Amino acid sequence: MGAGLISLVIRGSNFNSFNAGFIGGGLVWFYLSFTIDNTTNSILSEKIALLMNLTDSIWLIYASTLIGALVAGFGSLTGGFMRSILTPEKMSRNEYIS
Amino acid sequence: MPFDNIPPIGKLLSPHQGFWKNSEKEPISLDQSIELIELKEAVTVQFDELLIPHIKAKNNEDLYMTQGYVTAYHRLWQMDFYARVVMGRLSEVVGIKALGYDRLQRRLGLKDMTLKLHDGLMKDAYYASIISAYTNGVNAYIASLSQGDYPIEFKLLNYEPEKWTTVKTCMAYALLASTLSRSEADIEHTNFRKMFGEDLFNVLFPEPDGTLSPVIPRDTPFDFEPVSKPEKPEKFEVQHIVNESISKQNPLNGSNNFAIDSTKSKSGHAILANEPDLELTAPSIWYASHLTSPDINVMGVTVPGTPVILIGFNDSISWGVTNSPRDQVDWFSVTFKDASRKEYLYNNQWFKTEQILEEIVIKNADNFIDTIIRVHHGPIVYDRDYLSNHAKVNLAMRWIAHDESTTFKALFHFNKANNYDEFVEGLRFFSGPPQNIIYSDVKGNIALNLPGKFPIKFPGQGKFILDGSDPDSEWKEYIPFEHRLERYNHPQGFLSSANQFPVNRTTYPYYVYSHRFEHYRNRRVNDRLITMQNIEPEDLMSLQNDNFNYIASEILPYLLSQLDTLSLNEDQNKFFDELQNWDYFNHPNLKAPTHFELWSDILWDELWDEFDTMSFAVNKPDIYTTSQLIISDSLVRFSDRLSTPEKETATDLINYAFNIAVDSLNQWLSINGKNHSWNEFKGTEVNHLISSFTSFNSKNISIGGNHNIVNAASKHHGPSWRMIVEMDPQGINAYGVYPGSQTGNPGNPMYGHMITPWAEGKYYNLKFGQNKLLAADILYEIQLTPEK
Repeated sequence: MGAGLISLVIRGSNFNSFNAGFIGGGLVWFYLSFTIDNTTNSILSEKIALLMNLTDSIWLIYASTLIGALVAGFGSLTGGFMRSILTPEKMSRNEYIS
Repeated sequence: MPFDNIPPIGKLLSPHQGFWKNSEKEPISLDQSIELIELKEAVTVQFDELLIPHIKAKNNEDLYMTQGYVTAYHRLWQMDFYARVVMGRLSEVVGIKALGYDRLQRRLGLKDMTLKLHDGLMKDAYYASIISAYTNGVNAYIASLSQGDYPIEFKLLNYEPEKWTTVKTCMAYALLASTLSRSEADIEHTNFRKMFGEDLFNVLFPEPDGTLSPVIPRDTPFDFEPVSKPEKPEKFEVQHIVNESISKQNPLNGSNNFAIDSTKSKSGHAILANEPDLELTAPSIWYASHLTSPDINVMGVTVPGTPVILIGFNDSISWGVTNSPRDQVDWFSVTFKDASRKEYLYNNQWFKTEQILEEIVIKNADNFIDTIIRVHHGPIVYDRDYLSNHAKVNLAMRWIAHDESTTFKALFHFNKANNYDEFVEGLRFFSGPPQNIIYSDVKGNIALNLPGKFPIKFPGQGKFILDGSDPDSEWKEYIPFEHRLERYNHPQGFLSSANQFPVNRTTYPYYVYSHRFEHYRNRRVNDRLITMQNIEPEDLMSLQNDNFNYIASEILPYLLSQLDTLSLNEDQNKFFDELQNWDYFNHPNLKAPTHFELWSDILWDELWDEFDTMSFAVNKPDIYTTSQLIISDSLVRFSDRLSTPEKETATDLINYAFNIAVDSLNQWLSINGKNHSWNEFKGTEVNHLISSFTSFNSKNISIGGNHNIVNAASKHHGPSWRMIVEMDPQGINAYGVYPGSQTGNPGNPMYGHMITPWAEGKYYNLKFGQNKLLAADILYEIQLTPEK
């Protein structure tokens, strides 16, 4: 949901919906997973990393970040789309999906 | 990833829903204030440093409801898993590879046993209220979870927790019965005897006579006439060959318990000790709790999913169990009238069968429908659809555990008993699985009881497959409660049991049989207790951790004497020297136990190599029988190695096995590249119930001992709970430890925290009685209140 909000707010820049969502969502998932990993001394992430044959739990943070970004990117496309439906006369070139 | 059905990665890696949510920063992450709609009054739960919940309720329904709640908090996935094991529903979540397993569980009738037990208990208002309360507590916890809160195993296997039911609260009985009272070898014995004759059968599979340190001391008199002494009929068995038998309970499931009275105790108080040996799993099979209400104050271990304390103590008594091997399963051969299997032969008449369709749901595959035929003996497990033996043989299972069980009631009585009389009243309800139940109280009494439902059999009845059409082959009566095996106090000052033969055959008028008994741990325990005086709890802790290898002490001298020591090379000499200088203790840092284990295993394999050529189900002779043959120099009939044209003597075989052992060791060293001290070689493990979750496992735990040693830690089995209770009337002093943790969450900082202390022989002083929980001991406290 956060990603959708970000793209609703930022407009009029060369910043298209997908990118906004991608970065926003990635940031949120990165922040959350990094914080969890840090405060719990990586207990569980190391174990899950091993299950996935990853050598370091940091890769889980990267993977989570990437997936978070992808999920959010697609989510924010929805946000931009919702906006375009709600205020059709104010659509600008920059809000078109590129 | 090491599992077949990969969960949706996105969901698994999401910090909102995925595994990240299972990371617990603190040892307890419950809210301190919880509303539980069905509670009557407020309940306090205080978790101590071991995360054991001390539950304080004002009435019993609230007590058990809260116990359900906190047990679910710690072990929800395990409870769900056990319920699926018993109900034969693993395939639903694991896939087709569990189908054979689920089919067997359903054919064994575990689900039916549970339903029968449940329906019986729910008829009694008292038990119904406890079971319902516990169930409500579990469901209240489940209801509090959002998807992201599910235990990690649900996420990895991609399914969700189901609602808990009163039926599931009753499943521990079937689980334990299947693990402990299903051991038999009727098919294997029938096969062997048909092929090789009765004489050889009796040499290789002899029945013990109960003179070798039985559970009930030999001088115990039994001053009663048996209710009946059935005679062996002319014909009652059948001679079918069965190629493959069902998978059986693990022979390493066993245990030890002992109790000393005031004469042997330094403090003058009785002390009780118990150590059940089971498969070492993560989460542990046991979950510790302390339950208090106006009329209950009991502490000990439970099986998650079940409200009752199974092994433990209250402020007056303590008790513990070891498995008593007993032939509680007999196989009856069934003849059908025709291929429709609608009728079967019994007493020269045709009777109707019952046909039950069991539908097994399988993840990512079509449902499987298994048709199970039932006759009056029980379910037909072996038939044309399952271990079919070319559709020649149909075997119905008559298992005591199939009869309605009241064991739950026994345990509730134990939880509340104040003295031996009340304890014995509880024993009346203990219908199985057969256990040697040790007892001790604050008045200094000790006792051993073997309660249960035991058919009165004629000698030999049930050792082989029986003729299901012949009424003479069936059991008629049961040993009455008053004729049970019991010993209350003894001048020797102690009582003990370790899965050995229960009683001196010549004094007890009923036939007792099992195909396998312990012959070593019991003798070691008794040897030690006879000499020990002024015993303190620490002395019994040492005994529970005793690494003496009784087998080695009996056969190694002979084996060494048969070696051709002049022809040994350098490696062989080193191997030999370690053994020569060994004191027979399987300590973790020594190399000699590794040498002995290798040599004796290979010798045993080579001795019984003929068995590997047999195409039908058969057991090899056990270690004790083999050892007796070795020491009495009676090996000559079996020492020939089939793979060579020569006829070897016993000495040849012993030397051959020795050389192979040295080569094996060198091979092991070149693969593993480390020293072969016993703990490295044995490599004791505590594995997750889903062992492919490899990073949740603990490997190479440094602990000594082995099978048939008091410290019974083998590779996957061992003391699953160690408990010592000093029965001081001023206040109980109890110690405990188990290889795991209360939390079942790998993301919790305390996951598995007791494994290393357990391996090192350490114990925790449990917060009870003299050492009761004080404010400073409380790690975390929660209040549960009824919803407003």
